[in-house]
This record gives sequence, structure tokens and C-alpha cells, in this order.
Amino acid sequence: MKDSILLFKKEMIAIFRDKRLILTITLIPFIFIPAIFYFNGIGQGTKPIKNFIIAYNEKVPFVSFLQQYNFQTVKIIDKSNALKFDAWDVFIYSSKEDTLLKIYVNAAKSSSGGIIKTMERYYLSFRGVYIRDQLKSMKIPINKVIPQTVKIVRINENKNSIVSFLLPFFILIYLFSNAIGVGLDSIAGEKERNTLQLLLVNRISRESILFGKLFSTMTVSLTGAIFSILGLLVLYVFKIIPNAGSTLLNVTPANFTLFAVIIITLDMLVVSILIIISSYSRTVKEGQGYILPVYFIILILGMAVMNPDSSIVSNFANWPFINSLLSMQNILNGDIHVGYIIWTIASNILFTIIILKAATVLFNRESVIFRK
Amino acid sequence: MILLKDVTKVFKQKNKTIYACNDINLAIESNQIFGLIGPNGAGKTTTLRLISTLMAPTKGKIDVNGHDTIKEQDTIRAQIGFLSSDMTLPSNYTPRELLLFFGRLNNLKNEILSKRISEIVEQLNLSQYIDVLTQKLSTGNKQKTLIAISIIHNPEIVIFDEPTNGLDLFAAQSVLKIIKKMRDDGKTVILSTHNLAIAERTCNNIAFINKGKIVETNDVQSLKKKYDKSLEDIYLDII
Repeated sequence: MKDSILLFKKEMIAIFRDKRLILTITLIPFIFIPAIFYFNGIGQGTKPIKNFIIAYNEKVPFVSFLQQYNFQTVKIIDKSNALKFDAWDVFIYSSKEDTLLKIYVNAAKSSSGGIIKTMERYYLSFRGVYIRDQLKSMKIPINKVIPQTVKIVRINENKNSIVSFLLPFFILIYLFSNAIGVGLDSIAGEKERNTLQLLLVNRISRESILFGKLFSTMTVSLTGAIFSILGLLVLYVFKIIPNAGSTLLNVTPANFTLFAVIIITLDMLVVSILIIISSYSRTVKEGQGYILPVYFIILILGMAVMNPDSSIVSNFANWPFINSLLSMQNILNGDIHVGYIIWTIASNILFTIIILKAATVLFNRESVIFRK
Repeated sequence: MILLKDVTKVFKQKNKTIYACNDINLAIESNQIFGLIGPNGAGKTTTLRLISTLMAPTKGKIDVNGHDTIKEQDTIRAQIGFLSSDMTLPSNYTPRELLLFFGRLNNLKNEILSKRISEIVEQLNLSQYIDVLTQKLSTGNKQKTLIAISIIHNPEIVIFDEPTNGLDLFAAQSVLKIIKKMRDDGKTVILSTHNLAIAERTCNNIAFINKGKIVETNDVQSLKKKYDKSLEDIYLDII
């Protein structure tokens, strides 16, 4: 272990000197999730908006109602011109022939979902006010017509939030993508550059070399995962997505510890896969060829787990990677299944040991180390 | 003393069997420079890798100072320094960082290690480059750094595979000076080369190797006497 720590420290010197790598493992994960949330409006789809312009042909009571709430409105006479949506996003058309009020929304606009939500909400409100006023004028008490008023109260707002699905997926991606470069370079790269022999001829066991490389690669990939979580907290601090950070902040310290242990053991598994591929490969390029299919499988699994109710996920819930992602989702949602989490951690450790054992066998083979 | 007894090393490549070393018997006495001379692909590097425990013989036995290269790898590694012609320095480190790392790996205490680094750096004329990143060093200084790494733990046996490859005349001369100094300090140096002039000027004993077999071995003077020719002519005759 002493030799592994020595090698780990040496590897870290080179890693910290590589400014491009440092930027890749810190800045990119830090800004990537906030950027995705911000530019795609993830989590904002149902949020009503008010900054749009409403055109109308007749000042019907609903238009007057909207004007009371300071919506920007503009009167248009010609219906065909109104549907070109030159400077407005909504056109309220009132026909003299029938009583139907048509509300046209420019669906080409990215915020059309929010506009429709707003229009529906204000129309419901308008209808309520209108009915109440009509009943009042007819001297009919409102509770004769509507026996109860309804108020919808949101609870468990953080459960099944988009963050609880996306964050585990992004953590897995960062663990993998950040480790690929360093992990492949750590052995295959050294073989390619002929620097590995310097180590092999010294008094350090092959196991110690593998562990030293494992620790340094793990540090790099974990840094990326930590920065992606920090990026998410930034969303919360700057109120870009109020829900985003609160999902994390609502996790108790005990559960957060479990979350961290899952990430660390998942990282061990990810990096051990890279280490065995790196041990076998003659060059980094060859290693990339082997890792790419593995990476795609992990990506597909990660995406499948975003829909935890799917049959694929429930059939393979005990498998590595899937169990880690599901356990992380559960912790973020506050659904703690201790047995499942223990199995997840144990399986990550077990598979890591098996893979590292196989890597050691490979690494001890002359035909692999001196393969040309 | 290094003893190779009936050593054979076979590499299997698809349907081909290559005998890199074929029944080699050699005895390398201590406190000398032993030259292993042969053309490219003769089996020099494989022989040196076998002695340095990087590879295991397919058949036969190698003893290094009484230790078996298969069973006592750690003990042997502590006693040898190995520098191969195809080794390169890792980037993004300074020679000092690398010397500290390899010194600590060989269990040298900090005080002894810093003294040893100062000694070697002075000996190799590397003082002004000790804190320069390896990628910025000249070829000669890179080679000197590799030599420094291979001898940081003060090994009794030093194995150099083509140590002057790619070096200019001055750098090559300074490397050879270091090798001679090691012998004078009581070390055993095994030097692989195909440069006969270097071998003639530097080595005490020589073995000619070709197609995995030792074709001739003796001390330089006896060989010249036996064949009544220069080493270069002997080489051309027997290889």
C-alpha cells in the first residue's frame, strides 16, 4: 500500500500540471448541468409566463380581464394578418357569428408551452369571476352552485424531480468520461511511450502499480462528479431552477453519506474497468476502441434508468450500474431502502475486486506487457 | 556474479516460434564492464530483460548474486539498475521529482536520498537542469536523467542497453565516463551495444550474441590475441 500511495502522489503531480485536464475535470462538469437546465429550460416547462403580447379583434370581457392584470395587448382588425404573429404571440379571435372564443398561440415559439399554461390559468380564473358576478347579480348564493372550493397543495415536491433522475446519470457520465483519458493513459499510454518499464524494473509489485493508477484515476473522475454536484447547487443559489438545489439540500447528512459511498464504490467499478482495458491495450488508441462499446452500453443503461418504472429497469434492478443509479435516485427522492443500498455498495465492491484480480493476472503476463 | 544456465526464451507469434535466447550459458564476474555485442534482433535486449527480472526464461535458470530471478525478484531488483534503449522519461516531472520518487520506492530515507541525489546530479553534470520539466530537457540530459534514475538506489549491478543511442559525441563520452566510474567504484556493469569502438574502449569482457546464441565470449585482450584482429573484424567474421 505504501508503494501505491507513493505512485498515486507521483501521478497527481503530473495531473495537477496538466492545466487542460484540470479545466476538463472541473469547469466543464461545473457549467454543464446548469447550462443544460438553463438553455433547455428543463424544469421550467410548466412554469407560467407573462412576458408576451396578446392581439385581439374584439374587446370581449376576457380581453378586459387580461388587461386588468397588465398583459400587453394590441387590437388587430384583420384575422389573416393576425395569424402571422408579427409582433405578438397570442391572438384572441371573437366571431360575431358564434359564441366560440378562439385563442390562437404561436406554437413556433419555444415558450409556447408556458404561454398556453398562462392562458388556461387566466381563463379559468376569468370564468370563476364571471360566474360569481353573474350569480351575484341573480342573487343566487355561490355555495348553492359550487358546494366546495378547492385548493391544490403540493407536497413531496422534491420527489421524482427532474434532478433526481438527471443527477445520477450525469454523475455516471462524469465518472466515466473524466476517467477515460487518465485511466487509459496511465498504463496503455505508459506502454506506448515506453515509460512503464522504468516502474516495472523497480521494487514495486504489479498490484501496487495497479492500485496507484486506480487511486489517481479515481481522484480525477470523482473530481468531475463533485463539480457536477456543485454546478447543480449553483442553480439553486442563483435561483435558475429553485427545485434543483433543494433536491440535494433536502438530503439528510446520513443519506448524503450513503450517496457519497455509492458514488465512490461506483467510481471504483468504473475505474477498474478502465484499468483492465488499459492493462491489456498496447496503445491509448487501442484502449479507446475497447472502451467505446462499454461507454455506449453504460450510456444506454443510464438513459433507461431515467424511467425507473420501465420493465427493463425492474428486471435488471440488481445489476451493477443500474442498482447504483436507482439507489442514488431513491436517496435523492428520500426513499431509503437500506437492504438495496447495501447490496448496491457490496456488488460494486465485489465486481471491482473481480475485475482488479483479472487486471493483475493480465498485468503480470509478459505477453500483455511487452505485446507489440 | 551473474550466472545464466541453459537459458532459453521463446516467443510465440501466431504460427511462428521465435527463439530470442537459445540455450545461453554465461558467467558474468563482479566489478567489471561486460559487453553484450550483437546485431539488431540478436537477443541482447531479451537477455538483459531476463537478467533484470522483467521477463522469465522459458527454460533454464538465472542467478544474480546467488538469487533466483523467478523466486527472488524483489531482492534482485534492489540490487540492479536497468536502463533500456527504448525507455523514455515521463513528461510533466522534473528530474528531482523522479529521483525522489524512485529513491523512496527503493526505501531510501529522506536524508540519504537527498545526499544521493546531490551526488549523482553532480556526477552527471545535471545540477542546472534538476528542476526543469523533462519535456524541456535535451536528449543528452534526458539520457543522463534516466541513468540517474537507474542508479539512484546505488545498485551493485547496472544493466545498460544501448545507453549511447541517439546521443551526440560529447553526451556519449560523458555517459561512458560515468559507466567507467561505476566500474571503478566496484559495480558490475553489463553494457549492450553494437558499437564495437565503444566496446573495445570500455569493456573488460565481451560476449558476441547472434540469433539468440552466444557465439563467443572472453576478455577483450584474449579475444584480440586469439583472432589477431580488431574487435570489429572479429565481429564481422563470427556473426
